Amino acid sequence: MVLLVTSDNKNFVVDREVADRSVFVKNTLEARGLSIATPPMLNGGCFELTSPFLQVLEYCQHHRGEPLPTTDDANADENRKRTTDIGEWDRKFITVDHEMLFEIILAANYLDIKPLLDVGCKTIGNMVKGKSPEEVRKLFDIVNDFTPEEEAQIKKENEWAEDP
Amino acid sequence: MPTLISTCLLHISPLSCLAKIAVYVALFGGLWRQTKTKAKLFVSSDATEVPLGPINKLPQELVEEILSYFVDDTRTLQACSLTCRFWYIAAVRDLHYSLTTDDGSMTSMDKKHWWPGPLEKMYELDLLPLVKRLRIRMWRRKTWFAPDRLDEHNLRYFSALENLQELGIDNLVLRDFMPDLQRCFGHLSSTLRFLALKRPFGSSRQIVCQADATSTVQ
Repeated sequence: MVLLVTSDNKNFVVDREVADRSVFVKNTLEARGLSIATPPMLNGGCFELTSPFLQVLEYCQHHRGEPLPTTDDANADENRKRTTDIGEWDRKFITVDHEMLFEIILAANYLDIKPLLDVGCKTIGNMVKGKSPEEVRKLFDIVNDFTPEEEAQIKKENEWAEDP
Repeated sequence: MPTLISTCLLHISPLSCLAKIAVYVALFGGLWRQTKTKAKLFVSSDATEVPLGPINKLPQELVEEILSYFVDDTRTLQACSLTCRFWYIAAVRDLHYSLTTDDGSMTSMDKKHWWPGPLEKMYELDLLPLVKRLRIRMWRRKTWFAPDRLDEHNLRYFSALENLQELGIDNLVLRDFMPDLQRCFGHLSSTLRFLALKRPFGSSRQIVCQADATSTVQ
């Protein structure tokens, strides 16, 4: 068992096998020879991990024991990006509000849990796919910060984007 | 790699002299070096702060990760590029990754690809540094890619392809082309990682060179 301490000082005792789903935690524990991992500050501020961390733990517990992706397999990375399919359990797991979805993605990225990061990014990708710029803005509350001239310029550029 | 390329050339064209081989070796000697990518940033003189939605609190690298799933979906990438500046920067790299041009002698081909249209337009829009993969298709034996057709005006397009990683040329007459290979692509020796030169139709031979040292002659 290992003790994980979030940056807002909440303690979580989990199996080593679960903790090791995070490459960041795994490397930290191995490097220090400790059984306590404390996520440090992110971007100079306190990264409130508790809320998404509970979700992340649930994900890690469900997927414990599964093989971890290798970091240097370029072909696997390429193949992964050819599909936006998400497993049934993962799809239900990631069905959360937008705010939590972004928090989970940030946490997965920070803790280096590649499969969870994939699930989060694919989920957003599936939401965006086939939508118009206006629909994407509405979906994620994005402000259009282009000037009319910039927008016209990008439309010109896009005429030369090649279909694969 | 240089040795392998030299070997390829000897197989393809037994008449090639050592000097020509030396040109190739000098030109593509740095094929395996890492490409230095030059990010194209969207800079506006009147950029103003606007409130960010929650999704734009994701760092740039994660927005790029999300958009990377649309590498085969130009329409969605185009929509994303028009969403806001932040997303434009994430999308533009994948949008202009690949470029194809041909000599227009096949009427069935899309006119959009006709030489020099794509290169000229993308040069004007300053997009050529984003192109990583260029495919040149020539359907006629004597075409624009001949030594007497490539003037300084046209060569500036190739000079702007400063981050090209993959180059494919179809229906290539090696003997006519070789002196101009260096004129067009000599500056790419540090970025190019994949080269495919296909001989004219009717010949099954081609040269394929990859940065990971798997060079083949087929």
